[in-house]
Amino acid sequence: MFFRFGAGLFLVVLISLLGIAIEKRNLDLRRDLSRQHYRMDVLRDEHARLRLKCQQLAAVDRLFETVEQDGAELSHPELPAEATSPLQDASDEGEAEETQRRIPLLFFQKPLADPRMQESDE
Amino acid sequence: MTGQRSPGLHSETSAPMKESLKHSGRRTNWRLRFIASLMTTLWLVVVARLVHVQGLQSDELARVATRQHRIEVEVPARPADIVDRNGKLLATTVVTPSLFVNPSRLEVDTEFLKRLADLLELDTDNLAEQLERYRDKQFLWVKRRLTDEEVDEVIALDWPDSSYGFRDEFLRQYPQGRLASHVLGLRNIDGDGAGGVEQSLNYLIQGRSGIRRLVRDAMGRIVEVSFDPRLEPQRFETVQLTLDLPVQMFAEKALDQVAEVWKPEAACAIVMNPQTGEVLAMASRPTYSPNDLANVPSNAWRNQAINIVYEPGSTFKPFIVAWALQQGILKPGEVFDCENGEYRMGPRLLRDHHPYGRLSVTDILVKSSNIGMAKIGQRLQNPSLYDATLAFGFGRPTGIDLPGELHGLLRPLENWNSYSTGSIPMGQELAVTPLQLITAHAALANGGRLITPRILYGVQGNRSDRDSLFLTSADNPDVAVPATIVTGTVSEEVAEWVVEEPMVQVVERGTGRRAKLAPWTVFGKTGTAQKFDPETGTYSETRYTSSFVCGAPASHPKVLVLVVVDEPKSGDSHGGGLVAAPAAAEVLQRTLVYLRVRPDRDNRAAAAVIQSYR
Repeated sequence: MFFRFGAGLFLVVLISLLGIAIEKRNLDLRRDLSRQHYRMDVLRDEHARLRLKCQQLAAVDRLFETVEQDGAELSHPELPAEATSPLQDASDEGEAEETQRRIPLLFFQKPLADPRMQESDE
Repeated sequence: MTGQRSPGLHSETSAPMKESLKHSGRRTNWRLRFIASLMTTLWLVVVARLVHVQGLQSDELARVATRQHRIEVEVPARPADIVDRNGKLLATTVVTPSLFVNPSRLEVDTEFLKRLADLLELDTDNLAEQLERYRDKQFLWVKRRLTDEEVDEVIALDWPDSSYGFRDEFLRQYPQGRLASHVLGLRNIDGDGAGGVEQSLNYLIQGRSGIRRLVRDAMGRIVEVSFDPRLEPQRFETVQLTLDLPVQMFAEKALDQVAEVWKPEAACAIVMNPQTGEVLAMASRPTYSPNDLANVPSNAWRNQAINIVYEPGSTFKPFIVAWALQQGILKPGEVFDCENGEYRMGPRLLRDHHPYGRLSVTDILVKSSNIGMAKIGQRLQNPSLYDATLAFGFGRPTGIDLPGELHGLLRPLENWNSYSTGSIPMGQELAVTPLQLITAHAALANGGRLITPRILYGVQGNRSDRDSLFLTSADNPDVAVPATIVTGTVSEEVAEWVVEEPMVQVVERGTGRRAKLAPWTVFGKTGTAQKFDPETGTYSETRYTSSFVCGAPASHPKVLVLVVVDEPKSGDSHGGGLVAAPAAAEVLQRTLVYLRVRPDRDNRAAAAVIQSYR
């Protein structure tokens, strides 16, 4: 009888402990989830901040000033006759896709064989 | 023996004992019954209370409990970023902390206040006065939107306990500085759009606030933040404009040069793709930087492209010629007698700048003959002239997504008289906005289709009402675009003839010679309009609005540029061909090179042009 009573009590305690453990785990997971969302908010804010900084540094006005003052090493742009405009009409769409410019900004591009770039790589 | 009791003895003692036992048993039974009934009553009370609490009061109590440990806070939607057509950032939002204090707990000395005021660049006396005035309150903004450095320094101060705090707020930033500042507008300290697309597209940029549920423990600490996607803020990620930043910069630089050379009251430039009505650039002078609003002149807020009206002068003449051709009352090869520079039209004596004899329709536009235009006006008569102005969209806003666009001035037909028959074909007696004018010229350049100019390219993001507001872009399924509204004006043949014949000749050998570009066939029209002088009640002899509209390539125009210069002051001559044409041509050439528009004339010249930009 004592064994049965003890076993019953043990079972009740065991189920209670299991319930507590599950509840605790559940709370932990929910807390983790909250933390992940909070981190995502923080990262989103940080992303916006860094994007702003990046765009400020690469502002068209600022780049153009550098180019005008001859402070940038640039190759002259390709001839317009060799390619078509992004504002091409429907009939030229296929051609436009093939020749779409890769560096739209200011229509200048870095020379691929820039010796200084090779030095820096080494 | 001891175990045996005598029956006599037993019978002797049992009677009183029995009595006593009987009495005490009755008492016990009564007690037991009392306790039992008490217990039962108590249990019944408990059960009744339980039923009351769990059954009848359950909803209300659950609400109270929820209110005690759950909070719902409003989460404002981050305003959408604004980007140009290539995705370059024009406006974005960052989160910055704002400092508040609890005046009722802020017991500090004057020295502390002085340090705080110096640190935040505030007035010490004003801060002290504010604190004193709101001494019984628990919240007072000290300074909103602090920099990171300011936050660090504020925290380092020796604050009394629970007397201050920071609250995150959105701060709008414009990384491109003053570029396109009039188009973009601003957001005020409360996050509402003020001017530009920030105001007109506020319904797309601002988004809708969401709700976030927080769970707190008995001590009031937040222990859980529940995220329900259905309650999150609704917003578009990006609002994309049709502006092209390098083209915008070409326009801004050209206006800077105009301002430096001609010292005008104001100026503006618009670059448009005539085939789609997309505005590639819109610049205005005087201007301001949205990141530095401390010293902005009062006249710098106005977007000269849509918020002013002026008499278009000769830039209006091609519409009348096109309309007359469309009505069949004018033939392209016709010749008009321009009366050697003087023509009496009723009571009015019309004069040309130079005496011209017989001029073809093309030459009337090339030489910008007022007499020739007046004679075309006489053929059309007022009702048809009125129809022409309406057909090309004058007298009503173009419908661009920018706030404060003016209607222009177009008097009702019944107020027109014989003067109007001569004045309207010359671009007088009506006033237009620069945007109306370039939109109408775009209609000629694209074969007669009057397209509502567009500044909004599209939106990106998953707001629930996206499909009800926009169409999915054919080029990019992620982008939702507004519908394009097109109305007819003149036939394709008429529009092509006006552009490819007289308007090309204006640039080749007429008043717009300074806009000639070697690699491309440019078409254009100059305009020099005398301004009305309110003091004398007549047209001023010294104040002009000079303008020039041009585009290229003439056979299939890709780019259209309009430059309007209000009251140029330097120099003696203020003709549109001299003041505005060089700037417009510079913008046009740079844009054509940038957009890699195929030269229709001379490839070598194109190479030389590109080389010159090195």
